[in-house]
Amino acid sequence: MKVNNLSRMLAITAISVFLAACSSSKNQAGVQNGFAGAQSAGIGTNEPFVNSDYMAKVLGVDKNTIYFDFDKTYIKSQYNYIIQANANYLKSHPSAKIRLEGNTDPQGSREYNIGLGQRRADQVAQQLELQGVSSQQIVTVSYGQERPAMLGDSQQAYQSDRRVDIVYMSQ
Amino acid sequence: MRKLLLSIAALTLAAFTPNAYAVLNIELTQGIAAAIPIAVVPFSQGANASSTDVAAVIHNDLANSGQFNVADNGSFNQYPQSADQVNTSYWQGKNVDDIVIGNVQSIGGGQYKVTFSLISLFNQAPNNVLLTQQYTVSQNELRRVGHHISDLVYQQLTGIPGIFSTRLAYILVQRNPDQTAKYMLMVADEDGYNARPILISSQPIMSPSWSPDGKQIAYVSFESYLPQIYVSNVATGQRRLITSFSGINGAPEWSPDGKQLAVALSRGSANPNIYTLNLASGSLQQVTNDWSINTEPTWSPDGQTILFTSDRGGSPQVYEINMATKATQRVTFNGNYNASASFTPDAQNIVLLSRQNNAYDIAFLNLQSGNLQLLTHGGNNQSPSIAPNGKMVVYATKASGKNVLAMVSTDGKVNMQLPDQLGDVQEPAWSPFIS
Repeated sequence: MKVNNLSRMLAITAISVFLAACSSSKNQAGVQNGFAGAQSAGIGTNEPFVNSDYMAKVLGVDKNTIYFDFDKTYIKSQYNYIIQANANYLKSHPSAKIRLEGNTDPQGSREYNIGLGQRRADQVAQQLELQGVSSQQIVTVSYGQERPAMLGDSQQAYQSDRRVDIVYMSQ
Repeated sequence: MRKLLLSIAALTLAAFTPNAYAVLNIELTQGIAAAIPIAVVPFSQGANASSTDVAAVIHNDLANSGQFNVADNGSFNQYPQSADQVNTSYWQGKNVDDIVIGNVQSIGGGQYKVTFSLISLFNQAPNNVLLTQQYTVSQNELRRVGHHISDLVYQQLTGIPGIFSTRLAYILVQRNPDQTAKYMLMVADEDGYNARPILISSQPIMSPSWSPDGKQIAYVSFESYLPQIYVSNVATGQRRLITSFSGINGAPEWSPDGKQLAVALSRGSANPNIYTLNLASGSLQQVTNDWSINTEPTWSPDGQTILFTSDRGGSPQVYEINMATKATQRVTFNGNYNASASFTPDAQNIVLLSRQNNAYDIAFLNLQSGNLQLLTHGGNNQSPSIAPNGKMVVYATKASGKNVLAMVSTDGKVNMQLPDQLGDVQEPAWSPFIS
């Protein structure tokens, strides 16, 4: 009886250790040392939004993105036509909604970069509102340096990272 | 049958080890001359040897601290297991001041008895045994015992508490070719072992901050596409939403008494300001109030002041605000980019990120003299976090195009890089002492 119990206990231990080892090969979630395992967030909850390439075509712009200089938040005049195209569209489609996503290059403080990305997104929002777009159609968010457009540490990569993506949540 | 099951258990436990990572690329730049010479004699493990080499854990801990010059195991051929077996003149000839000896015995039922002693070779006192302890633990606690012994040895010989039983939290990012990514809030032992996720998300996770008791971590999650501050329990993974204001919800930092979080909130405006949030009542108090970026609050050890980063003067600099009087003073003056500051435990210095000659370096600022010492020398470094004993700083850096973690001593003499993992590793946060 005693031996039986011990074998059973060992079998359970072996199985649970084995399971832990299996799951660890996938995502390293385990049961050792009092960690009960990870929770998952945001997986499979992608919000619907309109394909960016499609929207760029509708608006007649190459890419619905505005790029910024290092540590700067002003919009260069070469992007005025993008602001204009989006403003015209949003005014004629009052149910359309956009999310302005501010981003930075991956240098410096991550939280300061969140502030910088927010300023860039707000700058674009302000320009759209000056063109008569309702603030109700706009949400701004900053991802700072957390979502680089291009990986790597070249100046070219950094330039493409410093941007505001204009994302249509609805047409 | 029993034997088979045991060997399966041993096999699967062994399968864990490849996931763990050990410190490597240790570059002891100047530390070794002043380091304490010590030998850690391999512990006899008996017939039922465990896969965990306790003496190796202690050896690595002490060597990686930079405070010890640990003798190479190949440099001696005596293996005393108890104080009476120590041949003092033999060990004195090996040019070490102290030796650590011990053994691990399997006592059945998956339990192990660990015995260790720290012996001084130059102590004139009648008893040259400085420390001796015995522990009974299970297999998966053997590493922890090793770290505990390292803490005791470190404290005995340096007078400073060791940090070998502390943990690191950090963000691990795995990017896929299709532009999607997996973001993981990870917790690992201070030496990188036992790494496991607390939270896994398809959207960015940022700015982990430990509660003072080491039981909870506050962080920013973009799981809803907009930033929100959450707190997770480290042991259970259970979590709760703390703030979800319009705009920026960032940079949570636990107050020393554990009752408040300092946070950066923009609340619909274009710029974040510092607030404190009472965790029990949920009440919010505004700390800064202007139209610049104010972020990255960290508390002084006594909770009386907060350091933060602000570009109110035109470029990001570190400021200190007195919580009672709201009197604010600028703290950094070297160069045009200083950020990510936090106090050393003695409140005499701050560790920060400083841009010098177009490089982002980790720096050490003495508050009295105003002297700024660079601890790193060029590159793209970020996110410094100080060990609770004030001796080491963990930070994020780049190596071969990947984000990895590195450590540097606060005197700048010891610098080591942690090996890369399956992904980019960023934003390390050193835990407090965990009892």
